Amino acid sequence: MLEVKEYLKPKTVEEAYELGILPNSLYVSGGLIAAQLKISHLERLIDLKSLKMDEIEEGEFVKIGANTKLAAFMKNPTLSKLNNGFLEKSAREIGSTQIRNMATVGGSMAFKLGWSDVITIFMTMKSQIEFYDGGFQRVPLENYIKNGKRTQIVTAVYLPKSTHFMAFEKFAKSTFDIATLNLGAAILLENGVVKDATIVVGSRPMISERIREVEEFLKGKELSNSIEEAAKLIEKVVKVGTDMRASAEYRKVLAGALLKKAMRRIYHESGIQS
Amino acid sequence: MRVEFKVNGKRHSVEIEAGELLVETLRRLGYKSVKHACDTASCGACSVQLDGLPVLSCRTFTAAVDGHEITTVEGFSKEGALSVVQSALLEEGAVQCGFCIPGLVVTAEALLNENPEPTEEEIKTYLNGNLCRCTGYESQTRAIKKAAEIRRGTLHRNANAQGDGI
Repeated sequence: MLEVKEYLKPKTVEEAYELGILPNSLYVSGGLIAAQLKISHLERLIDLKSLKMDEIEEGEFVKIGANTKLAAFMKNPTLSKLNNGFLEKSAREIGSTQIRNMATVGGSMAFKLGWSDVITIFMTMKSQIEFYDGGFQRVPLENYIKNGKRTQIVTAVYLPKSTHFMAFEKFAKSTFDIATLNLGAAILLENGVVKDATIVVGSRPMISERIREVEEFLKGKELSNSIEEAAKLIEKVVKVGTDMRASAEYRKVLAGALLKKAMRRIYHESGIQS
Repeated sequence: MRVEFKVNGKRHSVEIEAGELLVETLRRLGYKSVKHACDTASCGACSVQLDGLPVLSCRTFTAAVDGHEITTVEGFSKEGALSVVQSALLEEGAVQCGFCIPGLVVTAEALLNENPEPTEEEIKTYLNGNLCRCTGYESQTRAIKKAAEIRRGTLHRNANAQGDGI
């Protein structure tokens, strides 16, 4: 059992932050990651669920409160319909029913874990993340995962509305196993031609990263004719590493295979006639 | 610290360690159907319902369930009679060693509450976090489909099956 002196339920984000900056403190949202930590002793666990932050609001952006459970991707009518059901379909690839009922959007990002499927999915959607750090700030998720600090409290995620077609692919033994590699693709089409593209690779095993060379390559090309070449390019440029799950060489080939799969899925979903 | 919560409708007031996990507390309270198994959020044998939704008690801090309602497999059988789901599992030969079954029943009950008419694929997707190393999943899927039909009243249960505990 994790030895903890206090389990606290602050009433405001300011109060939670004051506790969080004390040494040996850890925020808890869904609790899945905190309960799995290898550390044996903590001064305090700070439960952020007492702050609510589980609202989903539709405006210029779709705002998702940090304590929203991943299950909402499948159940919430706004989230499940976004981008042709992208979040709904992606959620099926994450964890299990039980895990989706526990894991939260904020918790899945705050730990900045390299294998996170959620970070890849939300980077594919070009999300912004709001956090409290003595004041509220909102930055692109891509920047947050590079610069975020442990004491910051993730309060919400903002999804820009777009008409991109999106696909998420992962290679793993099961949905709740850590992915050997995951990949997200968002493509905006105009008469079958790629107008804009976002390609993200995660569980490399390093944290998710956009592959800008491939994004640039795709722009202005016909989607159906560029799949093979894009796959070859991503194998060349993606930065991957070796760990117990796979070698870097294997991951490179996998990145090509997952990109092909994602692009073919987008091609079919977009209803383009060849 | 002291927390209060309900298990299968019964109120408990318990002194716990701040970092204590729900599986440990429930077993200490005598709910031994909640299995301490993989300890890595992988097998589903520790599944309980928290306010009606299946969660993993091996990854839930007990302090977080203060004021909430837990349902374990015991909560689905009334006066010793098996529930429709439990009976269907027995009838379809879906139980061998039985270790995973309490967690499976808890999850299947939640599925049928959310979706009274699940397809085979929906059953498999919903239950993919409940691992079974004995019977495999065909008989379990069949049993849950059968339980759904019985609950909807479109299939009459086997005359030899035990009473409906719901």
